[in-house]
Amino acid sequence: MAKKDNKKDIAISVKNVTKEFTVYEDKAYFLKERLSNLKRNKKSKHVVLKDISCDIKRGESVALIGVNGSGKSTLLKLMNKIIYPEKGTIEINGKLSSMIELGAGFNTDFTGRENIYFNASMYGLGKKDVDPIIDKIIDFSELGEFIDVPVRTYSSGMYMRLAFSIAVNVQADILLIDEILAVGDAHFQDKCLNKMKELKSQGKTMVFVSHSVPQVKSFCDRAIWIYNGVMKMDGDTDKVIEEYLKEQG
Amino acid sequence: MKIVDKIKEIYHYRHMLKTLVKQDINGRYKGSFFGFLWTLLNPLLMLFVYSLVFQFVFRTGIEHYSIYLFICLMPWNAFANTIATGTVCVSNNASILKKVYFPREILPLAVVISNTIQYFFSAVIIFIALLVSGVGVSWVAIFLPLIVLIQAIFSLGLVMLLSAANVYIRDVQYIMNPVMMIWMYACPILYSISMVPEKFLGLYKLNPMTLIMMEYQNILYNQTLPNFRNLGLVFLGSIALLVIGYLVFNKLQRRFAEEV
Repeated sequence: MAKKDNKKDIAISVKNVTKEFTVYEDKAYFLKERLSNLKRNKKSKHVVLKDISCDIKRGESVALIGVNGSGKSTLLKLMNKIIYPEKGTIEINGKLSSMIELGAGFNTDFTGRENIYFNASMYGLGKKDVDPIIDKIIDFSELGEFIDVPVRTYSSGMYMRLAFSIAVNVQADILLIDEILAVGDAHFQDKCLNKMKELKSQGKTMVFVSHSVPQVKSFCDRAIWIYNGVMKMDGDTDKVIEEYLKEQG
Repeated sequence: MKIVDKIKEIYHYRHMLKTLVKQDINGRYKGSFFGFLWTLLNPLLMLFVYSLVFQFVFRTGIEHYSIYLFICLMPWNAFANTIATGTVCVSNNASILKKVYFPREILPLAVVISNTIQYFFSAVIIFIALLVSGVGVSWVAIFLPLIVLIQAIFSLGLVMLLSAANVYIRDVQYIMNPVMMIWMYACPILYSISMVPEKFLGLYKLNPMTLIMMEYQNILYNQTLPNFRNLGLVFLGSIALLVIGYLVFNKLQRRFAEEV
């Protein structure tokens, strides 16, 4: 019985997930290449994640830590259903907003304002849903009059500010965040962190990939350390970070 | 994923679909002086040229030949455009596919819807041409949306197959150019079906686009009721193709982000 109650509280459930990438030495896009490559088997399997299982509860802020190439971002992409696992299942309960790559799907010929509508539509929001929050989004982005200028004229900072403002304002239950706070100036970074803390206090679930130890410590209750595609440690942030730094040291 | 869930999900992403369709229609002529007017200007100029050529230079046995040609050439162009843009609709959107989740079926769906809407706009020119040329418009023209819908279902099934295949084998997008050219000559667009030798007629009518084109001619040129038996057959075939297309697309789409 207890198990059933728990199920409602779980936002992301990852069960025995294994993800392999096929690495092609020379990728054959064309039929001729495919045929001529048949005999020389130039592809190899690269296992990125091995049998990962974890449950992330509603309202939890979890950091995924690990060195480059350990599989953190892959796990995040799996949670976002951009890629699918070879084995295992991933279940998501709630509306998801991802900040895996900010501004993906911006049409650079269109203005910032038009892109707000388009980007929000990727989260399932229509014009009616966006109209009441659009001022909030524009304010947060601090773009001012630039909001009505084609996005291709934006600096990378402006681009990122607009994308972040949309992603945090679409009222998602779960936020997946991949190393994005590394962009933007100190002022905007602070603003983002404050916004995330605000969202956290509202009970949103967050999964966070970061290399910044202070950010993780100040923000996450739980950390999962991924090493070479396996879960090395899962638990209280301070403890995991301590072990992680020891190993790194 | 069950089909009902998929439809629910696509409905949830309807705003994205709407925006994609709008972007396609507005974006096609973006930056040009006439903008959306080109959707009307293009067929108008085409009709003008055909009228000149076939009136004075190249005589054919078909009465009102330029109108005859125009009636089928417009939907054919819509079809050919749908296939051309549809085949690359997944592979050309690699940047979004790798970074954002959305039901991938949205992409082929947007291509078909946008081309269908544009056809309806250009159909205005067809009706004007019918009236001006003296061919006239009969009440049977009300069946036009039905034929267009069947053509759209057929296109969607085909586009789902082709766009998914093109992610894995890029030859698909290049092979479709000659295929579409041959296919066009295999339909009674430039000529009348009465010119096709009797013994090939059975085979000739296996081409679903032939049957669709004949129905455009029936309601707009011959001004008779559509052949509902043929239309029904094409409809059933189109639904079958759509189901196959959906199944293939659904199977292949799991690896789109990695392969594209």
